[in-house]
Amino acid sequence: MKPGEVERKNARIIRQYRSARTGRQSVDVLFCARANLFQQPGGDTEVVINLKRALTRLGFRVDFRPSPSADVHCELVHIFNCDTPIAIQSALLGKPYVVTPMYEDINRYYIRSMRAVSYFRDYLDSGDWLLLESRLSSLQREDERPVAMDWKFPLCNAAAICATGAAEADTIRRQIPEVGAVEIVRIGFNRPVEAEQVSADLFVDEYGARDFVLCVGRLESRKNQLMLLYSLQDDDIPLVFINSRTVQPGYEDLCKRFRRRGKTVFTGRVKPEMLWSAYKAARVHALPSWYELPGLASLEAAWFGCSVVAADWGTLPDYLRDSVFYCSPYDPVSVREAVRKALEAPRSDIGRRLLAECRWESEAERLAHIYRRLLDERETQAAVSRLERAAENARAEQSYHQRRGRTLELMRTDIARGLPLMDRLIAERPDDPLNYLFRGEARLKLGRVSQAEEDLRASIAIKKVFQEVTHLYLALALIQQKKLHEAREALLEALEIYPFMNEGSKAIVADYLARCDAAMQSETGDTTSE
Amino acid sequence: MRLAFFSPVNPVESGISDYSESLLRALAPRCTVDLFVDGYRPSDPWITENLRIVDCRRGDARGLLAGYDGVLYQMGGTPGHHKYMYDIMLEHPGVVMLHDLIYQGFFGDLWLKTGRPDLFIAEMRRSYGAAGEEVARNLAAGRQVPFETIKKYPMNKRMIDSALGVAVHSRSALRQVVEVRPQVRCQLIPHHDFGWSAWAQQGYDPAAANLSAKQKLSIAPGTKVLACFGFIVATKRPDVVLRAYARLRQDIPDSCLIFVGEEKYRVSEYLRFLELDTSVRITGYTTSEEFRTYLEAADVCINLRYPSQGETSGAVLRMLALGKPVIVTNHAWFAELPDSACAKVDADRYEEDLLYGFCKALLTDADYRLAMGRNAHEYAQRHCALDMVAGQYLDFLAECAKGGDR
Repeated sequence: MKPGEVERKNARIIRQYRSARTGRQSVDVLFCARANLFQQPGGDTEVVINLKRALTRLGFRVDFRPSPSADVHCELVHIFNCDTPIAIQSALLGKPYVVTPMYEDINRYYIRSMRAVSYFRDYLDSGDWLLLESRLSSLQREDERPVAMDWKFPLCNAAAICATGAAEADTIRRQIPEVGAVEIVRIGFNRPVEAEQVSADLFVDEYGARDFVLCVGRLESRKNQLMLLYSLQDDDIPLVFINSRTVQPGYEDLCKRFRRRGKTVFTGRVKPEMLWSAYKAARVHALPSWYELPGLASLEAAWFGCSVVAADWGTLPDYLRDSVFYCSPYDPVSVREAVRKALEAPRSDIGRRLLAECRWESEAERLAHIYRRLLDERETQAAVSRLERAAENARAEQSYHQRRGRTLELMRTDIARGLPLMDRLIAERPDDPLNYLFRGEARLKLGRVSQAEEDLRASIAIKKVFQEVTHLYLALALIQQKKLHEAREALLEALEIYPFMNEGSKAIVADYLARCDAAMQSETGDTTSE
Repeated sequence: MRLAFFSPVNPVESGISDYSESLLRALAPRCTVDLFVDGYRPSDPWITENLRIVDCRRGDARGLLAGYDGVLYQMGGTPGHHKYMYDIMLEHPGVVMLHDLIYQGFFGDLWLKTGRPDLFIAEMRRSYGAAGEEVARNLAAGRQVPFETIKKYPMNKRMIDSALGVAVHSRSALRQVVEVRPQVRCQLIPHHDFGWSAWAQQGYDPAAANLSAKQKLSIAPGTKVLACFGFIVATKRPDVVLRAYARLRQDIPDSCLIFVGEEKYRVSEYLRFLELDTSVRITGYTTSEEFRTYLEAADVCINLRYPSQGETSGAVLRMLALGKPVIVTNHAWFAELPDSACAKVDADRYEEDLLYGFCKALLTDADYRLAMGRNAHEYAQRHCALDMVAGQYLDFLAECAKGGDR
């Protein structure tokens, strides 16, 4: 090449690829999900990867972006998890979207699961099992409280909703009655064919355990491993946890502090061969999760012939039907009983027979049918109207969020000007807990403590578990009004429902509790002296 | 000249360690160099045999500095490697080579992640007043702050203000340093090429080396190899690289992509999504010898970087010196490389298309590929040769030793 030729060729390539015709990929379906889907993989990652691979074989061109973007042209958007910003963006771009919400019945389990962590933490600190038993039994009576994120927009404006099982579909319909039809596209199951060559001895030689109770999964409050540890505390049977990296290190610490009569092993993350070997060496797989959709570990365990113990709160019954020893996730007696029965049952191939129906290929076919229907309908008046409606709703939603953002910004610097705007926002959306929290905080700063209390209580009434600071502000408002018993109650409740509270908040709680105690003591002293 | 040289060196794993080890070899014949380290024994025997090592954790290292004609600080962005010299440079002014321009990460790791947000906030207030304090408070509260904002508060002010002279590797960095302190003595000293261009002059046959390296790595001789070097991190745009390669593979099936380095940013699941799990290799950590073998096996190198902290890339210098065609991001230092010696991709919506286009053209047009490689080698040899860079350091140190502002 002559001098200057490389530069000229570079420039030609730049011109060619920056022309208007290119610079934009074209696909049939754009998958969208959380931005860290592939960096912090979870069950949703497996769903996205396997559906994409199966849909590609059916002739669909599929790509992934964290949100619909200008560099990809698509006919349809498919959102995984309930993500409001992605749904708004899709609607604003005039794209019909399908949503696979992976909708957990969070109202049912979340507060219970948080309380359980606090109860076990206190038990590990004090050893007071009578108190633990009494507190655990109260979990059964816990009311279902709305704690879910605001998932109305993505679900109510979707062109189609795909649940992973009947239980999930029922939960969606019950909690958001306005949604349209909910269709079932189940999770597929990849047969670990390479596992046939792996022997149980690999695990036995490495960890010195056989015929144990196995529990595979990250150590985290939703998976409820503390309940399993407590249920089998006095049993001799070895308990093996194959635990990949947790997102709740505090929970992992509690699990590892638990002492039980039988041997307990935490292997950490292991290679697939070791995992398969563990399934072969185990008698029972027990995962008393508060909720699973449906829980890959339970499916794998069933495939390998383990007896499976699990809670029946998720969609597992759609997959393994009555082959599972079901338990109540809040009840240690029920967990222990299920494990005992499972230990007595022989290994069986019923899991394999049931899972033979769970193929990504057939689920992708089901999904392809939904896509084709939406693509065929896209020119119809009904579809066009739905898209227009969704876009209009998205604009309203976006405008609301922008106004709220500006109002919150203003309230940081100029409370007096911000408050009337916040009043208007609350009138517009009386079900948004964040607005009450910020108005409560502002009123607290202005010394209007009884009004602040009212707002903070309203925020908690809408969503009990939302931001721990709500409880702290409420306690402060109560302390300032000398409602010391109520303040104390709010603080203790905060400690209970936010077991992973950060150190700064913990210090504030301790300080406020000390203030309450001191004030109460001085009140008692005053009364006595009177 | 008696020179006090502050830098991490191996076994501290860092690009600056490798950089300094090469530079020390080039400086040693021309002056007396003492190496100041932070509590360890250098693993390179040449260093321990030929230089005096001063461990800053033992005795009064600070007290020795008055006896030197020049003090040179190789300052990077990792607190574990550079905190010791930061403390000393504020008390004992010398010449600071700023390997990065933005030190938010340095101070964030140093103070925010260790529970001392007050120090972080105070530093931002001292350098940037109330506006800086506001940003610091947001960062301390764990709020997301856009990179465009971070760039406005690079936290390099005290280093620049206290230095006798500041050296940088790029024109864009030089402009920014002068904006911080207009009267500062600031010198552009190119990133050296580790002596590789000189070595590649001595009867090195790139085509033969390419074939032999492929053989060593069990890669078929006809396979076209694309390679990315260094830690896999988000700023090296691995997702974009993988998407472009997924398209490229349709056109050039006898190609492979190798990430030579550790997976700090997980890509294995995205590989499965793109169905590239069998055609993309991730080597993990490599020794320097393995690194060179992979570099020799590469037909085209990709080194995207966005956003950048103003850093340079030792890996790119090695690629250029060895005559490899390189595709870089058209941003910061990388944008200053000559157009004849590399291909540049803007970090915008055309990034993936352009990367795909350049990869395809370079892999299918041997003349273009070889010409770009030749130009790259010539550039490294003319502007980045290790001995030449060592001379520039000594000249600048001497100039700064005379004292006074520019």
